Amino acid sequence: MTRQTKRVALSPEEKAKRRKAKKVNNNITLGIIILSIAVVAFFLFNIFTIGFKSSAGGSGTTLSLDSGKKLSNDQYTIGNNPTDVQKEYFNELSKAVEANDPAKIAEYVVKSFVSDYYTWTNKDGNYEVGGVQYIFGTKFTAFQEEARWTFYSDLDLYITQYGRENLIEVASVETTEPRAGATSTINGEEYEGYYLEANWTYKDSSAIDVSKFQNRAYFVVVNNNGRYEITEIQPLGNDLTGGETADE
Amino acid sequence: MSNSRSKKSSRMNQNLTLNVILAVVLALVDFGMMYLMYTLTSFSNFSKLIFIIINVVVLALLLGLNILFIATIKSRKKNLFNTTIIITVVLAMLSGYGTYASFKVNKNVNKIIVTGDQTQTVEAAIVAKDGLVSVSDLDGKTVGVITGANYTEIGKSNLDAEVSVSYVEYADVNTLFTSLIADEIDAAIMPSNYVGLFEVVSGYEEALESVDTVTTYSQKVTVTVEKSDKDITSEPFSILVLGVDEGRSDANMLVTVNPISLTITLTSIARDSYVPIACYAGQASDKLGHARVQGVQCTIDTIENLLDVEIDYYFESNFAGVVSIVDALGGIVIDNPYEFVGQNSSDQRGHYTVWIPAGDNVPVNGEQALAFARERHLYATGDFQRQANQQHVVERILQKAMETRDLNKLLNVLDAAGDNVTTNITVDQFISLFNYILEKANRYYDQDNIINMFNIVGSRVTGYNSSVWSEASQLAMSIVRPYEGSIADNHEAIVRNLDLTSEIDALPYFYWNAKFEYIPPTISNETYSEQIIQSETPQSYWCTTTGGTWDGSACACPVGEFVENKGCVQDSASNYTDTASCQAAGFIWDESTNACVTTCPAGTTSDGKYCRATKADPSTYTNETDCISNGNKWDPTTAKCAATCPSGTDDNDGDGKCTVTQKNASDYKDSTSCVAAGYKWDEAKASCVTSCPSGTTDTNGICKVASTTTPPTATTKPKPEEIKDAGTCISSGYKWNNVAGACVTSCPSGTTESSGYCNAQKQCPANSICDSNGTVTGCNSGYILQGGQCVAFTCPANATCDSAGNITCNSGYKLENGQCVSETPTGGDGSSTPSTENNQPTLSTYSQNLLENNKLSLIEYIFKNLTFMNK
Repeated sequence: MTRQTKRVALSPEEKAKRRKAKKVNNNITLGIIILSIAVVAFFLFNIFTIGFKSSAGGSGTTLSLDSGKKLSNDQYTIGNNPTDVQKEYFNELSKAVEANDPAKIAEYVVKSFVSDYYTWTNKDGNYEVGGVQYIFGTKFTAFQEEARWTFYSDLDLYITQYGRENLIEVASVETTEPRAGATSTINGEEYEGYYLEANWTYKDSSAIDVSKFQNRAYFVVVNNNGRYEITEIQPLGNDLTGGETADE
Repeated sequence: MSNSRSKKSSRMNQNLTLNVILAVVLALVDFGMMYLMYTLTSFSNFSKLIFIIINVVVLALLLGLNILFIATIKSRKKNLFNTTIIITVVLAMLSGYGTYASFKVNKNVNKIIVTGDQTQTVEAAIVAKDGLVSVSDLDGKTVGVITGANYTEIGKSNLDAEVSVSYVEYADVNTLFTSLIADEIDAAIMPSNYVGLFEVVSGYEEALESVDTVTTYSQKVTVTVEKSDKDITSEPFSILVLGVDEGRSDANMLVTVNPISLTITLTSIARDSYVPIACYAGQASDKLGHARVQGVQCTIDTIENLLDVEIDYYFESNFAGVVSIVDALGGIVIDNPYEFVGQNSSDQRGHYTVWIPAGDNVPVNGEQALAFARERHLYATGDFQRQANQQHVVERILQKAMETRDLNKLLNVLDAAGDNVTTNITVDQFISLFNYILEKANRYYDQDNIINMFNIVGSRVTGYNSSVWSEASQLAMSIVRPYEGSIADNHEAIVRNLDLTSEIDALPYFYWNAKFEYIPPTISNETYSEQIIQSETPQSYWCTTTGGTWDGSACACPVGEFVENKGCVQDSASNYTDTASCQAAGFIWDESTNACVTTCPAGTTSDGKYCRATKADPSTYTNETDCISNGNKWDPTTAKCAATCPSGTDDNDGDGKCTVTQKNASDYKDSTSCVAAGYKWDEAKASCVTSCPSGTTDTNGICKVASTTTPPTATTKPKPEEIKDAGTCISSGYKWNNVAGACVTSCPSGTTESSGYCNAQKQCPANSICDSNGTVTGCNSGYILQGGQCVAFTCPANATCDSAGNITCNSGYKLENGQCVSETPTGGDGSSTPSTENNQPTLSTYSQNLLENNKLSLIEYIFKNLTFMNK
């Protein structure tokens, strides 16, 4: 025997109520659909507005950092946007660190410092003083400040007037054999290390006279708790006289 | 049957009602979210990509919800219905809160940022002397007005409608006021806050009491403040920062920002600077602070004219704004050399107002920060130090804002700023600058101190105190006349920071030594050799207005005061340069700086007469020598240092070491403890005594009865190592070593003898010559004594120098920046650098010399920096 569904007959009032309810629900559904269309339209308009909105007062640019991880070893990390020369010396520095060869470390600390500090083609602005990672630990802030008041003080003018790509970039660095026996007394504590001289060359520039820039210096590099850091930089030759600037 | 039908019918009605309610709520959620996204669009420049993603996500959520609701209606399933409700409620809450926050942010931003024309209420006060109390009293009278001031026109138009008066024009507010006091006019139309202008002027109190406001007229006016459309991420720009109180600009600081070098200059100008006011007729001079009464554009124009630079934007805050912003940031830290009690934001002073402790990185709240920025009476340089403090507070607020990552805190800052701050930098410019700085910060080496990527240079326009005298009213208004040289120096520094076409003159070489501290150059001198404009104010005025008595030729001041700058001033510690007179005057002598002070600086403690280095916590001393030499007690048992000996012990010998507290001799009942306590054991009586009775002999602390048969042996002097107490040691002709706590034949090296005691010798500092007590009496060659210490000093070429470092140039040379230079200019700098070899990579002669000497003198190093400064 099959089951038969009993259909209960609805009264006319109940039928009317059902019809009304169905009508209301349909109206609600229609309303929601219209609202959804409006929502979609609004958000599309909003996204369009954001996407094409001009950045008022925002054309200033910042040099993009190189993608990928920076070169580093147990002791040091290379600077931002390093040149090929910087990478070459830093790799040698890493080898020296691994070999634990203090004299070699001192030599390549100096070469890495020079190739970073005296290169401006990869510097975003005056605030980005190169080579601070090779400076004696507690003094790097003071070093930065002094650099910004002296050698780096007009970098903003150089960038604006000559273009960053036309500024100084170290091409090669040569040093004397590091000579042991150097000492530096800082905050009452004595540190031992090496003396060495360095001389370097710059890439040619069509905009500025690179020959006017310092290309020699004498360095003291000391052992600061196992890390070799620079405590003294003295120019050599005729750099102390003149005071000429380097623009053409 | 009918029951199930009616239940079904009822359930149908309920569902229908719920559907309608839910549909309404859903619609509200949709509209709420759309409004929220719309308002957030104005901030989308922070990151367009992120904002687009947010829009897409919210769209997907809303569409999903709408579809879910439709499905709920169709399926009529309870679970689906419940899910829809839950999601709707969550989104409704999000939408509600987001809309509230967005509304609040936008409201505050609109209050803060003023671009284009602005409607302001300007009030004009009709001020008259006693006797004229109503407008009708002014009929037929003479009224003074400031030519061209907006409140003048408001006052005149209203006054003319009521009475008939004649007008006399004046160029500046001070002259107008003094003319009123002198009865040259009957009344004056002044800004309604005229009391605030003059209440801070010494000597004007009585004059202010003699006048009163007859009536005040106000009117809304449209004010236009010029602004720049500079791209502030690529072009240097300037902002005038004003601190406003009672209508005056009490703090005036011009900030310039170079977005490439990230150098920020802060140039403060004293509010009392007597300068041509741009909006006065004929640009008559007045105090700079008064220019603000005429509107912020007047102050902007005045400072533009003074420093000859363009000002792109302004940023203005009242006192409450500073307090609220600092509190919203959770406080800031400041470096404060002197603790003091300052005035609060309601100008109250005295106990229970605002106390600011001394020290470095002192945490302060809003009221404290404001008090620190307003204080000037504590400092010898008065308002000038206050300006430096204001710059310091601005710098620390910036630093705290940059370190803040809490969005809620930043919203609170915006809230705090809303009613108290105005600026004409747009939201887009703020956001662009913010993003730009974030990009720079990613490249900066020292990520732990991001604030250091800015080179913040503070300066001020210096000047000399003077006054403007009104003979008619017998009133003098104290002013500051800026030095022309200071204006020029500050102008040069500002222009250098703003103009990227400036001439390049940086030296193309660099040298550095980690041993030396770098001192950045200063922009402006404290004084300049310029012709001084003498004040016409008679000495008698200053005397009488500062509490003195003028006898016709000299000023007699009350007790505790003396004549300075023609008036009576409170005696100042800085007037005394020796200990005796300093202390006799009731001040304190600071041994750390060898100066007379009112309060001791941080790190020192006052005993009423001297400021002495505050003793370190005794527990920090881990050895006996350091512990005792710093006035503490050393407990050998526990090897610890304390201010006093622990209970049960005492410094019985006065040697700084804690020994068991002496009991009376009678307290000891056995020979061992008796002798250990330093007493004598009477063997015959088996008792502990202070000294051996007659007829007995002291044998190692035991009093033995002398033998009658054997002749008494001569007592031998004990060896020093056998003596355990200082008294016996010294009385036996030895020395008691306080450092080692032992009896010795003579004081060892490193100690000095005093009355039989060997005390630790004060260490003679490096490069110093000391007496036997370790007191510095002189310095080694190449050093001079300064502040009790020997500092490196090299007498420059062509000069002779004394032991105090005073330089006397030889004939034909003049002293300039610490060097003696020829009085007739010559080419080159005269330095002699040895020639070096160019071919072989060996150390040059120059380097050899450096190798042997291995140091640059301090003066040479400073000279290098001064040479740069004089480029």
